Amino acid sequence: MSDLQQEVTNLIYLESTLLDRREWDEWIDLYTEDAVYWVPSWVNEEETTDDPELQLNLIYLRNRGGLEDRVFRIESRDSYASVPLDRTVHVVGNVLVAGEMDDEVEATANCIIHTYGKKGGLTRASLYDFRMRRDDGELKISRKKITFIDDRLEGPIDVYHL
Amino acid sequence: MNKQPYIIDNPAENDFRLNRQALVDPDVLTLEKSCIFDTCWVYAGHDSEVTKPGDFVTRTVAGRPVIMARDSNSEMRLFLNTCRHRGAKVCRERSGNTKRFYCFYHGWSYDNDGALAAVPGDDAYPDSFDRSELGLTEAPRFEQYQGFWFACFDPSVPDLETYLAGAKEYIDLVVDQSPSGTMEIITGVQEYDVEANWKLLVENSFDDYHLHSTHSTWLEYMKDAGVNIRVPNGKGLVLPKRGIGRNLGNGHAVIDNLNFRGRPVATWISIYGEDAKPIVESAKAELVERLGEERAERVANTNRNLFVFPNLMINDGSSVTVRTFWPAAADRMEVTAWAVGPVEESPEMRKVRLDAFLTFYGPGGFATPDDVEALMQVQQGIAETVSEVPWSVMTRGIAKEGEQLNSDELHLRTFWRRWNELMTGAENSAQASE
Ligand code: FES
Ligand SMILES: [Fe+2]
Repeated sequence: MSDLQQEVTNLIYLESTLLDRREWDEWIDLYTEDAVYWVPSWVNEEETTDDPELQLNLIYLRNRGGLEDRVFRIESRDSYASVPLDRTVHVVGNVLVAGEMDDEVEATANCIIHTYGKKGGLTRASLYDFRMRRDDGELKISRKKITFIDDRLEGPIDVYHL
Repeated sequence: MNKQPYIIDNPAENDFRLNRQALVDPDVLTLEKSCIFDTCWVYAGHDSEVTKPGDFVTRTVAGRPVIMARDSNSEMRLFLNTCRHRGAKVCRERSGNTKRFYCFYHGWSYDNDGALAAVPGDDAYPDSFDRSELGLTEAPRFEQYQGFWFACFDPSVPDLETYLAGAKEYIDLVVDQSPSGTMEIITGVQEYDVEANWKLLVENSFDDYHLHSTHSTWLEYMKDAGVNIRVPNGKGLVLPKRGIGRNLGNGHAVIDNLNFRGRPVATWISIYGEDAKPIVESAKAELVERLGEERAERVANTNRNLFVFPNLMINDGSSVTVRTFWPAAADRMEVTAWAVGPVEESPEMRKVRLDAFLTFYGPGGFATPDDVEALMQVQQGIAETVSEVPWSVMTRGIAKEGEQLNSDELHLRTFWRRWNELMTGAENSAQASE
């Protein structure tokens, strides 16, 4: 395995581990300041929204501040959708480095997410498209696109479900 | 069903109670389908979803699988999505453009005007087999107001505009945001299931009483962003600005609020960012020029959650969302929500609109998930306790003379009274008196 493949894989594993273990601040730290976090919606059987700026997504955050708002909400314990917090297990696989451009790496991965909470157990899945960039030598996530394969959602979703 | 009435409605005694069986009993749902969804105008879709001849979308309207299509003359049609042969759905895609709807089971095909165009091996049919009588069946009534299309499966009802009654005024306010009076559905849809009775979402969608307790994290977020969320003392308000609840006739109702939360068209707040300020200001200037100062202020600086009986909400708040829902079971609904904006909106403004939308609305937003949780808690709370706790209390504001606030429950009572009339066939005398 190449060093880059190893480094990318570790970062993706770490991200899902921090989500499952609810280490929110460490999780956010994996993202660059200008990181984009995007969960498109399905427009038909085959296609999702492809222009995050001008189409209606499920979630679209333009920078890390958007993720911080999410964490604020979770940690406040005042958002009843997140109290009690669903337990989650992300199992990530199929990590592939898709390309390297200038200072950015592109990678894809698959994730099976099992959640347990007020609705009982639910197993769902996402396709991940990452961009990563070196920030002070450390590889960080500069963009994450999550294609959640369900089109009709079972209840609400938050960053830990995806 | 217990033997009690659905509602006890006695404003003279300041009493209004809802029998919780109405939210729990599967027999009630069966009756709702015939008494309500088969007799009312039900939202089907928007003009902008199918613009060219041959465009179509498929969906469920009043429980029926339908195809909403532009025919070859660009006329809007609503076909039942079932083959006249032996019943298969003739269109399986969610959207597209086609000259023909093709039933793959035995190969009958229909043109996009609904006429039966081809029948494989038709020589085996008797002489009495008449293709011209076997086109796709259409909804008996299909009419639009300001680009919003509604279907009714009862052919005998008055027209849509009559039905909409006072709701028209509020649809007009939404549409006035567009210089050409043309709104469009923005590409993308949010679909989610909620484990709760559908009528709980009717109540929740225009219930401002719950804002502080349910949405405190959203309010905190707004406050951090510099929005004034302080509630003035002594006026009975629960929100920073005043708002009222209104009965609009035929079961429709609205909360009509002075804005405190920002609106893409057109009240700027700091969350939108400095870059967006001139854009929002120029949208306001356009409104003033086109509509005059007073109407512009009405459009730009008030917001409204409009309920069109029985299952359409147009929430013109932080952004505009069109939301409809269908009961999959007594304790489960399927929600579909779209974002709506003026057709001529600039990309910069669209971004502001969609950001404002996603911050508040939707299954991944800052508010909707907490609403969904509240509705689930109601459903779980009442499901097995109806015998011991049969009644919900819905009397906020009932003793007041004159105007009722958005946090009162007049608009909820308006819904329930109309619902009760249709379910029982009994005219409601209190409808007029409050
Ligand atoms: S059911 Fe459609 S062709 Fe037979
Ligand atoms: Fe709410």
